[in-house]
Amino acid sequence: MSVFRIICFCLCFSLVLISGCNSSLSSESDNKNIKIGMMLADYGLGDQSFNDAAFSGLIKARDELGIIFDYRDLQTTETYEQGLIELIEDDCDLIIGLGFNMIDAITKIAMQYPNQQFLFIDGKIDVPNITSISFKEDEGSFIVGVIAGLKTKTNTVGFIGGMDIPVIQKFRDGFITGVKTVNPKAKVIVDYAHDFGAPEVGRQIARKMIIEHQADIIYPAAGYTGLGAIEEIADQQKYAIGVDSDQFFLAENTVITSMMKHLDVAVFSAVKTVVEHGSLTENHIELGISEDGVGAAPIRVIPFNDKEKALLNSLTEKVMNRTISIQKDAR
Amino acid sequence: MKLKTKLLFNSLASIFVALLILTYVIVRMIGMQQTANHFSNTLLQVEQLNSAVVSYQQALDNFGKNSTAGNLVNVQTKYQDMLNKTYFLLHISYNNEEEKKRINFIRNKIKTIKKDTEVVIEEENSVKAKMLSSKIFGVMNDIYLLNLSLNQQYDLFSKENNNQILYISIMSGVILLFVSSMINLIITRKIVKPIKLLNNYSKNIASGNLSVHEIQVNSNDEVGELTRSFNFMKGNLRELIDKIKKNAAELREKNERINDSIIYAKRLQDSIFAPESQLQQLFSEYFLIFKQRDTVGGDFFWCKHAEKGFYIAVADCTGHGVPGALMTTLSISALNQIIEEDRNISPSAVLESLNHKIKKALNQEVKEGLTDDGLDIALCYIEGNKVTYAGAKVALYVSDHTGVTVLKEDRKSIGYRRTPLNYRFTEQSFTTTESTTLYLTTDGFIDQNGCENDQSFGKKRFVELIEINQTSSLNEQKDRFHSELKQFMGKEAQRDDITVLAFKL
Repeated sequence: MSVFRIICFCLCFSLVLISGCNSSLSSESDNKNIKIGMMLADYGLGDQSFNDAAFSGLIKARDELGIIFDYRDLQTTETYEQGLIELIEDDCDLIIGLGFNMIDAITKIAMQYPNQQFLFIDGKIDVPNITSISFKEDEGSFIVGVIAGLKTKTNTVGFIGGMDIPVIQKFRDGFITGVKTVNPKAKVIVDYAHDFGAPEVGRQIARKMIIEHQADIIYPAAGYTGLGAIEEIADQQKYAIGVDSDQFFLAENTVITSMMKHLDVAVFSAVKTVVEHGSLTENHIELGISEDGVGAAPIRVIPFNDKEKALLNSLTEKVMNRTISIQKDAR
Repeated sequence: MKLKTKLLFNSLASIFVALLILTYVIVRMIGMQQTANHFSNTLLQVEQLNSAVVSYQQALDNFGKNSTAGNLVNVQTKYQDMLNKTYFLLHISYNNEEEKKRINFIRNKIKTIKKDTEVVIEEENSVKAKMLSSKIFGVMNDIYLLNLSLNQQYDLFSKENNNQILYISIMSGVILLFVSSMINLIITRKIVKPIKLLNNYSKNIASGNLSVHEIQVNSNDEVGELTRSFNFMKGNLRELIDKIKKNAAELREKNERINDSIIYAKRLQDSIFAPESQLQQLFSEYFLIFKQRDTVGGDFFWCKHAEKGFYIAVADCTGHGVPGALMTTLSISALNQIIEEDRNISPSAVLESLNHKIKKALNQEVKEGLTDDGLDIALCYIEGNKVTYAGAKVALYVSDHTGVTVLKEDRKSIGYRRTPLNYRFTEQSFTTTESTTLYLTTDGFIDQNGCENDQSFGKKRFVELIEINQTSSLNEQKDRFHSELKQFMGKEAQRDDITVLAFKL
């Protein structure tokens, strides 16, 4: 009967082995990647400014920080709310919303899902689970305003706003202050398209500014609408200042510089914080020149001498130190 | 089935189970291999799509920045290339809902890209190309995610595969161990059980228990044959022992009957023999050693009164036991008859007459005849202190103060065929003194063999025995003779009837 005992022993031994194997099977997919969801604003990808910049920040984070991300745009989800809900249902660790037009939607959804962490870029929302990042667009606009003030020949420059909303007003105020700081006699024509996704409207406004007011440098801060404006400016062989990202490549003989809003930097650093600390701690982050959140793209197309460069640098210093203040509602 | 076949089957069963398990493992592994191939194929296609999309995006970017006809052609080429690489999406297999959704995203986005591309190519619009180029980053991310998911699935699958292989290996090892042990155990038991039974059976038989039940044999192997042989052997043994028992009983019965008749024969013989009290009357001193080998024997002593003296004889008839006893009765009655016919007859004449009578009685004077029997005898006629001796192969030892004298006997026996019918026996006469002792002995004493060298006691030793004990009384001599013979015989059995008669007148 010792044979039975040996067999029993072998069976017990192998059962232990097998149970060991099973436990090793279950310990899989431990290090799940952090997933970021992004709801794109307005026109979505391809706007060459806002959305593309934020998106490139995410791509950089994906490639360098090992996160994964998904995105939604209005072309597929119809509404911001729907897009945000889809991203929440996709188990994103952090959901990023972009642009002024999303404020209502993201606020509503954030209150519905208080355990979901949100990041809103380009504005300030006071909801506990939303971290806002806003840019000191006035600082950036001030710099391009200085360039425009120095370079205008007709002493008339234009500003096209996408909508008459606080963010765009910051663009406008910074730009006007910059122009007036170096060229007090210069005239700044301001107009609004009331739409961030209507290039045709942008085109018309630009044409009107050039033909009716002899404006020779126009600064459209109107997202996708601005692209129409830049095309028209290029057609009229005047100069344009890009916005949000370096828009030189849209019209290489026209765009002298761009007010860079480094959404990519903002997005990347926010994602990095999430990767390193697990969540975003601050409720509101404001990025200016000193934080590399805004700035001017390299000056191209027109000559810009050393004296002018020195002036630009000193004024940049001053606006950073707040020795020059941006005038609200300046005309 | 033969034992050899059973053992072979035993090992073959294990090998067969092992083969089954091996086949199962191989089939499983081939299955895994195919899945892995499919997986890597899909991964490759996704990778190809990705690089096609990247190339297309670059081409669009180039055209956006530098809207030459060459770049436009490049856009068209890369676009076609990308489209070709998307066909597999129509029949791609997905592992989960997430992938399904992702694939749908990619398909939809490719559709949008198609529309936008048509606009770019038709209008040769570089800004649109630039925008489309940025848009493609979106689909690239979807492809990235799909790729990631597929890779994760592949990793998971590989890990599971490895675990499964390990699991299957261990499980199959265990199953093999278990099943083959079971088969071995069953077959071994089947083989060993009848052997154990047979062992007990044979032990029973060996210890003599033949009433043990026979084993029923069903198998045809060697053990079965052996069992049948054992059964057969048991049957034979039993029969044999029964027969022996029966024979033994018969023998015992016959033996008892023979013993009874012999005991009766002894009574008869004893009544024929002269009573020892007669010797007491005849001699002043005497001793008699009369040891028959069996219940009855061929030795006898005889005495008979004559007119003036008396006859004394010691004889040894042919053989011993019952034939000897028959001869003694014949001889004694013949002697009695001879003396009664002539009460003054000389000893030699007695012997001659005895010879005659025995030959006649046994029909030994003619050549035909079954027997050749007779007797040796020493006969003395004693009158006063005068002794006349005649001997047929039995000597007379005379001991006195001068020593021991052996009176030579005649070298012919009585009654035998080689003794002539009218053989003349000699006789010798002498007178005794007070110290004279006469000894008569049959050959039983002298021819008795001893344990050393198987020599017989011998005449010389007998004479020495007489000489040594010459001065002792005859009673003491009897004890000495007894003890000397006993010492000489050791463990040897008595060979013949022994008679020694010593007397003084």
